Amino acid sequence: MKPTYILSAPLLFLFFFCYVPTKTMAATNIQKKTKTRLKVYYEKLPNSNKKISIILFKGSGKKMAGIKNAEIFLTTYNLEEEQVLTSLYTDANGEATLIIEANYLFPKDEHGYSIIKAMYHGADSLKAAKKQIKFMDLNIDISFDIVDSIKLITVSTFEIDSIGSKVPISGVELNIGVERLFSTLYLSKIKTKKGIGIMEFPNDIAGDSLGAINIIVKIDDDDDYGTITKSAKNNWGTIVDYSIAPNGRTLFGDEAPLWMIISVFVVLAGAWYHFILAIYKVLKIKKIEQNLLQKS
Amino acid sequence: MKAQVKANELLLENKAFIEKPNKQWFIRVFVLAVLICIGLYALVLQVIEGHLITGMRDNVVWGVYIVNFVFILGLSYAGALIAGVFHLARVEWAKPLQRILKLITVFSLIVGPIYILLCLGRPERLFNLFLYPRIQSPITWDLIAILTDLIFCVVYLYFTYIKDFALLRDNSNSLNLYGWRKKLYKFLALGYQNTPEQTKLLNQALDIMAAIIIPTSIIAYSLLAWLFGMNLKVGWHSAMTAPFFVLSAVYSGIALLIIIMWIYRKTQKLEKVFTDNHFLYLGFALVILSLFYGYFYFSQYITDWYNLQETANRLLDKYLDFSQYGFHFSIAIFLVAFLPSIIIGLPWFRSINSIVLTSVLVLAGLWVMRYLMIVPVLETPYLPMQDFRESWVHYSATWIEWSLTIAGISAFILFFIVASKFAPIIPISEMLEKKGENKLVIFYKTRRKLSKK
Amino acid sequence: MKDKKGNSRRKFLSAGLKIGVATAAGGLAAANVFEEPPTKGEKIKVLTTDGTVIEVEKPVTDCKINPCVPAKGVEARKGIPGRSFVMVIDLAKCKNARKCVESCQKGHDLLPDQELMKVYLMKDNPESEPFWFPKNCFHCDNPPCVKVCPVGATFKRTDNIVLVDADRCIGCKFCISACPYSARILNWADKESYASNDPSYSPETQVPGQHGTVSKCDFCPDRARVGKLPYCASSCPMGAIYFGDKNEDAVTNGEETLRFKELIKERVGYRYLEELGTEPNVYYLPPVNRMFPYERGFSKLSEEQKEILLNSISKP
Ligand code: SF4
Repeated sequence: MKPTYILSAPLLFLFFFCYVPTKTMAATNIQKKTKTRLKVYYEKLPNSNKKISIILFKGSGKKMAGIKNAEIFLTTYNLEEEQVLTSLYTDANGEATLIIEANYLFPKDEHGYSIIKAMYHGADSLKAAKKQIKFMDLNIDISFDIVDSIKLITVSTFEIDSIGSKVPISGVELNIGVERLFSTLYLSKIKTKKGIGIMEFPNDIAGDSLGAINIIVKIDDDDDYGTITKSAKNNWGTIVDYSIAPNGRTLFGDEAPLWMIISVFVVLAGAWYHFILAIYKVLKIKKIEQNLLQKS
Repeated sequence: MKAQVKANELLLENKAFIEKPNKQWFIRVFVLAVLICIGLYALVLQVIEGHLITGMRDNVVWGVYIVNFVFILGLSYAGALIAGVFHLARVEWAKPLQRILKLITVFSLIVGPIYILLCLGRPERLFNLFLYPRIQSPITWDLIAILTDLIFCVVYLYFTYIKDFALLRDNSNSLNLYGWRKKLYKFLALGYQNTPEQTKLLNQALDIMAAIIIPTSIIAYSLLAWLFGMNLKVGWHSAMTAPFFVLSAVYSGIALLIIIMWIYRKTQKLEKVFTDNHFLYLGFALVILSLFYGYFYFSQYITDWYNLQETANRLLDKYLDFSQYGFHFSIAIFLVAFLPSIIIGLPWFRSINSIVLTSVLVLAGLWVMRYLMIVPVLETPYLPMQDFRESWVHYSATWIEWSLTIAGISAFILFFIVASKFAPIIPISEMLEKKGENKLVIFYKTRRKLSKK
Repeated sequence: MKDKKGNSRRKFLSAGLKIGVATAAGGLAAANVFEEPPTKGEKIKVLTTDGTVIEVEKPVTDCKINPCVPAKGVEARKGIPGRSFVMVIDLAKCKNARKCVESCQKGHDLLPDQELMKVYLMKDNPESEPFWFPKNCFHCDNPPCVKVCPVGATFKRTDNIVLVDADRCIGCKFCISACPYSARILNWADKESYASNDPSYSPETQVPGQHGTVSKCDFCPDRARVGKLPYCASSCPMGAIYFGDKNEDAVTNGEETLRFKELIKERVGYRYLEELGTEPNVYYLPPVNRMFPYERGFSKLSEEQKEILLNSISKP
């Protein structure tokens, strides 16, 4: 009996030692809220609608994880006054999107900037977060000219001021490319001067069977203008022949070459003809017997 | 009529072997049936658990099954080819061998294709071969060739039995047989009464069949060879493949013929029929074929030896490396290319038993050579084999494959046992036909034309 | 700095879209279907011109090729009109990270030891340095495997892709032995998710798989239909795998888009075992000016495995 007591005492101690602290630690864990972060992107779509994409997440790097079903409040400033736009719920990846139609008059400040503020109020285990971005509403126009058989793409960048007239914007970096199946093939990067950028279009860009291509002009994640995409179609591409020239001696097609079919047929026909001839002769034997029986 | 009398005598002399089976016969059948059942059990396991329980993997997709398929079909084509040639050339001494040759042909044509079914991942979809046939595929060629050959050979075998069935029908009262067998003989004999007219018709039919079976078997076996030859694999993609296959087939066919002849000679006391001369003649054929085999092999490998292409080199190294296939290769090549010359070619060791023993060794050697022609080649793709799983890199057959192999051999033997109980293993009527009696139609006609001139 | 920000974001968004695509295409890839209740954020809000807010369905995919769903049956044998898919693999960038292998396995519902994309360690001659060599099916223009199929279960399409119709395959394995590039595998073992003659099966997705039939890299035409790169190309952390349409003369690895002809010309792209005349549609850029030593690729391997690889490339 005695040894058991001696043994159990330290065990009991060990048990408390291990158990109690973990319990209290778990309790503090719940109280300690995880930090969350918001990212807000502004993008102007080819149809001039504005797109606000929001990501709410925790952690960083590989541990980054979106927070789902969270309500994000969006506000803007109209003449120093905070104005509620709407609230959005994040999806399974912690993302939420708001589309602002092109003609909606988005409030601007005296410098021409629009402001969007996203707020997340937090939850039981999550801290609140907020993020504010500002952007300028830039417009892009694309036009095509052929001068001395050189194909030119002219891009103009401008703002529309409060009375509705165009104000050219210079020094904007533009990527110009053509749309491809998986991505845009960028051809060159230009900077506008006096609101105008000109690019010489190469002659060897593949189009479709009619030479049609879709030219894409893009401003990529600019500090002031966000991301803007604009596209226009023309038929400056080279014409691609979609018909496939078959390789004469290949055998992978559905139909076998004629000589093969003919030789198989000839060999089989020859063999089977003689086979049937032999059968015919043997069957005659039976007939002869019947004749014999009749005679006798 | 003299022949007829003699035939009856010969039949009655050997009647014990076709009369009601005794206990020993049933024991033999039972043992073989057990072996076949073990194979069937393995087959069921393979169907349930999938091909993962065989040794086949993504590199060596075809293993022992295909080796058996190629080997056994080789025996079949050899049987047909040799029987056809002997028949058309009217080789008198070879007459007693005809039945064995034709039985080899048919039975191996039945057993062989089973192995290709075992190799299929989805055997139940075999009908797709008829729904969506593609003539360009060597497998389609094979399918057509095997089916044609099977039909031709079965019918040919039956034709050669007709005279003997008539003999059995006529003598059935002096034999101790079950009633159904008597009826069956009557039906199968097709009313053959040995009238000159009937004999002429039957002989013509036999000549036609022999004549079409020779090219059919050569074409069919070449097509089988092209299953490999039409493949880009180094070691297979060679113009030698088809002739080499046909040669090996004839070689293995003769070896098997000697063995079966010996077995019947021992068990059925047929010393007077399968004479020492038969063994000697076929033994010499074996020597000549072994030399041909050596010649073919040498010309293939001397060419490869001079080839410096990387993959071909890697393959050749595997045959010569004793830690890989060196032993198998050197022993097998000794057995198939040199042994017959030494044992049969030189007078000192030549005897009936040594000829038979050589045949057994040659047959085994040829099987190993087929294995070496298939497995190491599949283990030598163009890209290095960088698999961390040993079984994916090196093929080794599992008990499933071996037991199905044994089951196939057992089935082959079983067929022979049953067939030789059903009708004599020697073509009695044919054997006793007088020399020159059965003329080839075409020679007959031309001679007549010539004499008219 | 700016570039980096863009990249991480693009990755983030693409991760989200993957799931979007999968659910949209009706559980296209079984592996991607998550058994989660829908979130409240499944709709997009739109601020209209007059200032009201309406909710619309999320545009599930951007449909690039009509129809957006994988082709089935006879349609799947034809190919996407006007497309000519090619892949370019930059050997200078590969460090055996094996992300392509893993994402391909996940996307095609493969067992962990089934690889449609394999990464080899290769060495051209005794003096040269070894390099990592990702290898999938080359979708040859003169495919030896298609020639030998007895039932037409494997076929060449007009968009360069060679596919297998597992509903028709009899598992004769002839095509596996005929392929000089060891690109084909058999589904040796049965799996619970396998189903024969399943209505959702398409040769373009190869999901659900079938026991005893052949499987191979399919160039993911189902993903191309919605403008997505194949699993391997979109998952390579080094951007070593470029994919695109030869007719459009463009290939992309998701980060950069290059002109195919220029790329092959300037970087001296080659095709593996060109001398066999199979005319592959996968091109390799030689492993010159490498970004890191090849030994980096050993980091996840045991000593023993390393030994096997090095032995297999050293010629005696
Ligand atoms: S394994 Fe299937 S796809 Fe390959 S050749 Fe045979 S039937 Fe055709």
